[in-house]
Amino acid sequence: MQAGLVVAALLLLLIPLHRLTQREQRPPEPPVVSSASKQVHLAVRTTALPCRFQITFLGKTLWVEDASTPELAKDFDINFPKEGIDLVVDVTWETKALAALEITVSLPDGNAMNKTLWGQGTANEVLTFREDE
Amino acid sequence: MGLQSGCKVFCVCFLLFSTAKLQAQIKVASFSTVLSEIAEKVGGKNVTVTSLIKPGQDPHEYQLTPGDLSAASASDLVLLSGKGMEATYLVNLRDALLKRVQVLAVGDQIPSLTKGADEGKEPGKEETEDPHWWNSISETEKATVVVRDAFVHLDGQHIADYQASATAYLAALRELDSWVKRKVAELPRNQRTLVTSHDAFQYFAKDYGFQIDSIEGLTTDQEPSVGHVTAIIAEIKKQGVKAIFLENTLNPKVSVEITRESGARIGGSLYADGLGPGDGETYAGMFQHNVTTIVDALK
Repeated sequence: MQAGLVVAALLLLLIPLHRLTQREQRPPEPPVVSSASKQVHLAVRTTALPCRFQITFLGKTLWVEDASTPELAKDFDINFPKEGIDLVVDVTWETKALAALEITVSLPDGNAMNKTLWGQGTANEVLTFREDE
Repeated sequence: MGLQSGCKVFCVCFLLFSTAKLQAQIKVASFSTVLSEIAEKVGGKNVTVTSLIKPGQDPHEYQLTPGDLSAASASDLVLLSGKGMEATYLVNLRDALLKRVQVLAVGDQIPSLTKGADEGKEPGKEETEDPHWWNSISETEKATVVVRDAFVHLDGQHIADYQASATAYLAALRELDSWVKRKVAELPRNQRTLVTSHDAFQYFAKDYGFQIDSIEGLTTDQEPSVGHVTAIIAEIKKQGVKAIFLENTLNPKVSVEITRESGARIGGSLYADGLGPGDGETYAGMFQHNVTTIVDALK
């Protein structure tokens, strides 16, 4: 009878002991990364025609165009964090004279950023667009 | 021996001496694996380079040996990384070298990034220069110009050679920089948090938009405190950092422990302190390895 009580007491002790020694299994906290998919308006303006350009975003082709008019625009749903985005731009002009391609990125809140590439025949650059620049 | 024979001997001796003078090479002793490559590329056949720090060797832990001192003494030019990298043996080295040997601390000729006590990692310490300038391609371009000018100053007979070789090497560096920018652009800007073993990538981070969290300080002999490791684990969880990186010259024990606690994985091993065996045998190979490892692991 006494032995039974001791065993029962030991078994009862196991529960708090297990709780105390078990590694805490909290669900992982969600990462606080600033990411939000926004509809971004991209406008492209070239000083020379014909012109072929390719815009790559995060390693994937976003927009490729054989431009026959100097101004083109398109909307894209892309993640635009507060740290900004990088667009890889490759452009080819038929003319070997100095030409330029201007890219304007407009956000739904009306904020617009623009960058220009210059080149003779070709230009390749990584352009960074940030709201605070 | 007649007058004619005497003239012949004199002419032969003069020709031999002149030829030897024309073929004389600048002897360079380098205390940096990256500077060894720059010296070889820019100097070409007019320069012989002795690398006193070998690929894969930790320059923070380097101790000056009598053999290396002899090699440095026999050279015309000693190349140092500078920015405090050689602080533990620089005085001894300068004292022991003959006056004719020129000592050039290349890093001291280019702008520095600093790490201060205000950043909370080195309390009580003054601002420290970051010596890891080679992890920026634009800083390496500046170093190339410094080395080229040193060769031009030492050997006016081969100015055109040094200028042509330096121009070719600088073009290769610019091409490498374009490749790096395109590769880094594959990674969202809000995922560019780089957690490394020691603080060697500030110059890289500045050039390509990364935020740095290092486990150790600017040198590899600073043990991280428990508080600092706990803070890094919290930051990794908060930012959702997918991977942290080891270094080819360091013990990975603390990094591995951090991955256990944070849930991040080991993204690979980086060349932090210069060239090393494997991909990092050349500067371009080292940089491509580091960038590919970082981008692919953090994507």
